[in-house]
Amino acid sequence: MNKIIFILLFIVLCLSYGLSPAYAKNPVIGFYQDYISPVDGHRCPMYPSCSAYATEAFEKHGPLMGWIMACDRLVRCGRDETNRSFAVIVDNREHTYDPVDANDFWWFQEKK
Amino acid sequence: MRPWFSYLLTGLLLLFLIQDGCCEEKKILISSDMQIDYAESLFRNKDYDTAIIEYKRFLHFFPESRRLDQVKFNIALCLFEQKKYMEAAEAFNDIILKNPDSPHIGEAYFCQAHAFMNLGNMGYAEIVLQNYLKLAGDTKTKDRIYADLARLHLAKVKAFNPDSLTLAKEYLSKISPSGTHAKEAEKTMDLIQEAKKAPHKNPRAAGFFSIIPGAGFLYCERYQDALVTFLLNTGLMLAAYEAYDKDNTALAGVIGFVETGFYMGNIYGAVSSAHKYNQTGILKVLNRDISLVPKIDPEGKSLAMTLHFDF
Repeated sequence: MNKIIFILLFIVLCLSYGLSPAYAKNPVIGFYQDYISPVDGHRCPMYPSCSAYATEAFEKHGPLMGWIMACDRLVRCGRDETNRSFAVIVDNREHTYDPVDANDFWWFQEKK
Repeated sequence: MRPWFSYLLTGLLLLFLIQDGCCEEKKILISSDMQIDYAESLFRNKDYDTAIIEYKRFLHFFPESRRLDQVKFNIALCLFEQKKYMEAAEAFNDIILKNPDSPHIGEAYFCQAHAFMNLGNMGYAEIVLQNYLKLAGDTKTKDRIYADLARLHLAKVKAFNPDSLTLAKEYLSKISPSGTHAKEAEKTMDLIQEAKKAPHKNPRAAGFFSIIPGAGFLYCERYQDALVTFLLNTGLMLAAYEAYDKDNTALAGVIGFVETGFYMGNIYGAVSSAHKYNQTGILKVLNRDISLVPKIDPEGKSLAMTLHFDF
């Protein structure tokens, strides 16, 4: 029974993390952005916010690297990065600018 | 003929003659020189919108003028000064393609490259400069192109392209030692040498240390990140172990899946932090001569960079 639950959960997670880099919007992130974040309030000190960053990472690098980069960002959010990256003003609030580009520049070059 | 009709005719004739005489006094003949002088005075006074209208009026009334090239170039310059960089790039492109013999062709290449740089499209800017390099014959022009290419690559360093530092150095080394750009090139070369000696962290070492969660961040002097990474990873590992130990394999699997992401994120973050540490060291040196101003578009909520060069 446990094995079945685990397999089902795994399939749901795999599907929610997106099956291809072209996946438009991750359902988990979409649910968070549409239902949890408006109630919880926009408190992320980074720009783009962690959920926006994760969406971009998934779209740009696919499910595996997107997942790794999103986890990395969640750990760094609002800590040492605030003293190292420059600040930007968005909606009259100061945020730390930390886009996906600033974290994948050492291995990924976008073709223009 | 009735008398009242002859009075009316005489009156109308007089009215016509008076009107004609008035208009004769107001007639002004504008020469091409007058038109271009007026447009240029507007350009000098930074009234670019009106200057463009007057330059276009010149193009309409004096299509055979020998100053057409200059006027087309000035229209493109007006667009550039108005920060309409895309339109300016297109206008300069027209000059390059349609008037290859224009005396302004060289400046058109440089201005088009600068327009692309201001748009943040360094790739197009480089293509324009490389194309002109193939056409340029004299050393002075070549030096100017090399200086611009070096600037472009220094800007790319700031846009997270650390390898561009070597290319910038390469272009600066091609500038002739007797040219006008030699002194600035030497100064920038020294700056690049200094930037290369900036404090450095080895990304491979950071990745290796991350076998112990957080140790890679510690190596990169990110103490808060290191502590959070260590606590989160050890907590999740323990939770997964406990769940598995109590035969709750489904929960152990879910926790393990999440933990795998955070563990790999710890390695990725440490390697990335080492690269960012090195990048910051380089930028600290380069920022003495190049300023980078972030710009926010409040409506679109997009973010763009503008680059300003001092040399």
